[in-house]
Amino acid sequence: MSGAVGKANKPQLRGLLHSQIKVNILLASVVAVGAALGQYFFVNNERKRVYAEFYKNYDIEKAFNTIRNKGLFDSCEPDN
Amino acid sequence: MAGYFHHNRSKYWLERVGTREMVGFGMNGTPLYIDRADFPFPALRFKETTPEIQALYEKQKGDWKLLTLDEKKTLYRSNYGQTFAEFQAPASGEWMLVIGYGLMISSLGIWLFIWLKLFVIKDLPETFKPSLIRAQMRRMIDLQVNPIQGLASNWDYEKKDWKVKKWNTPPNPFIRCPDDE
Repeated sequence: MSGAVGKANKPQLRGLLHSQIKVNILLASVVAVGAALGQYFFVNNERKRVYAEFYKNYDIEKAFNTIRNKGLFDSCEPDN
Repeated sequence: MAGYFHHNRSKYWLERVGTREMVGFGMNGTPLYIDRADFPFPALRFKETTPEIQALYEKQKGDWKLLTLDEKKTLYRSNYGQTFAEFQAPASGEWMLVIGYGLMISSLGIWLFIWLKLFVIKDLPETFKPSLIRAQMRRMIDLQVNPIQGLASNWDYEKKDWKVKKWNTPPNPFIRCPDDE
């Protein structure tokens, strides 16, 4: 049997760059929004959480005295 | 030499043209034969004109439908050295040339670096010795450098060792080694 089954679709002949750019703009905006959301959740919020965790139970006087007594400061003496 | 009268008739060119017929200006004004895809009109016929070919040229002045396929091929081969497919084909085995040249130039780069290391670059300063690197690491851990997300955040101050040991964590700097002073 020769001949195609049914009618073949006419391919797009004009405006190819136009449609390509439309798809590119859509893809670029989706990726940009995804990147921004990723930055917000996995970097900014995560960092805020880690800093809050650290400073919840942080005793700065103890840390200062530990470092001072090891003789690592130039302006304070260790106590001995 | 009938056909086109080429104005460049220096001895250099006439020696090289021989008895081949000049047929046009050519790509640069010299009676040169060259196969080029962007200027497919060489100034010379490829082969010298023999009486058989001359008969074909006369026949070619008439209706081209009267020429057989073999006559057309003979005409082509007497006017041109290679077809478009032949001279545009990639040279077989070219990849070996490419790899060879690339490696040769890389080896020149390596020779350059050998010379640099031997004659230009000075010794590393004393602070790159392993004992001094360990001493610097001890000082950084004691100072609690970057305690939230950086160096000291990976150090466990109760256990006096790294919290998680991966393939790239340095060894424990507080362990005494023979070269520490």
